[in-house]
Amino acid sequence: MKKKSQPRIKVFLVDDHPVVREGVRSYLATQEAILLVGEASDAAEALRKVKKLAPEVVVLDVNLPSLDGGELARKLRQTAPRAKIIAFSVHDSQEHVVRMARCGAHGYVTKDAPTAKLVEAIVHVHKGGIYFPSSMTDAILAPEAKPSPDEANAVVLTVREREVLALLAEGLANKEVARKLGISVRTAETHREHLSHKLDIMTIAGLTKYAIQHGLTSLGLPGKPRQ
Amino acid sequence: MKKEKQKKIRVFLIDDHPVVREGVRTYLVSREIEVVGEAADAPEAFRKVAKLAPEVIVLDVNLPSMVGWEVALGLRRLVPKSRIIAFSIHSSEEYVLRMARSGARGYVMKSQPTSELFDAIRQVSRGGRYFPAGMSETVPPVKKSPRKRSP
Repeated sequence: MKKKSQPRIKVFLVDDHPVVREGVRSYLATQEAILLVGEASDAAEALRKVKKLAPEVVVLDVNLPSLDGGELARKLRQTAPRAKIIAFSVHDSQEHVVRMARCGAHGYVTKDAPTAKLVEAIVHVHKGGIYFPSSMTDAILAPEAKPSPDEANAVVLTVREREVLALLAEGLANKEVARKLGISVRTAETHREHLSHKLDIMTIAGLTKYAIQHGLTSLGLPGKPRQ
Repeated sequence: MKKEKQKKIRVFLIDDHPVVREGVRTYLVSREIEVVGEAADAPEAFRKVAKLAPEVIVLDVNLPSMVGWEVALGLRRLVPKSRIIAFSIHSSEEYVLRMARSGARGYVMKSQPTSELFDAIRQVSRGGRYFPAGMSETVPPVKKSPRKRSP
């Protein structure tokens, strides 16, 4: 009986340790669904070869000596936008996983996992899926650059207080704030005292930092948050 | 069944990364070396080596539960006749010296071609030492254990 010949998944391997490449190569050789089309031991070689070989999946060691793994993932995504990237790493911290996900990796497999996991990941991302430690999915999907973990016990500021804070952060003095908002200087000062008290921040620099972190000022942010 | 003319060198392999064990095993087997056993961590290695009495132990310096030099010391107590080769991602002299002082007969970096590991295994199995070029002089000779060993 003839077997249905399915095209094999073209995989490219990047790792600076020959013994790791040896291990991946020999393991993948036992997999009918996968074809290892090339290897590289550093970033420049990887970028050059990936462009030429157009693999469907790139297995990428994140600790290359020449270039940070995240950076290389970004560059690979530019060079070969269709190639799916699996980070293959000795690190299992959430920080590393999230970073690689943000840099465009479709999967993350730690090197202490059984090599079969790598194959599972290759097949999965090739189908269009993502393959990350399930415990970290939330962290990966969370919006980038969360200001602080104290969001839960965030202080409730009144609308007016937020306006005052935003203006102070923009460098306005109490008097100018008062004029801008059509309130008395004394009232502006009171708002500021309340702010300092509620936030437990006494300095203008501190208040400014808080305002930026919480998106209350337009500084460096697109669009004014104030209404 | 064919008998081997030369006896194969019997090697035990310790590394917590399955893919590295896979790589070492495949390579060594292709070079006519026998991998008699493997372990992913120190306790597993300690449990297994005594029974297997390998000639050479390839030891990853970065195991999860114990630092490399302690593992080396433990192995030397358990199987004093086995020769240890440190297999490491670290190229610093400090690591090399520490492993040498703990009784390793050789030190090979994972960034080197896998053939280096093969050369090191052959070298130490014959009673030699194998350390990175330029470091051999600084590496102190292995202290003989009090009891005399047959050559």
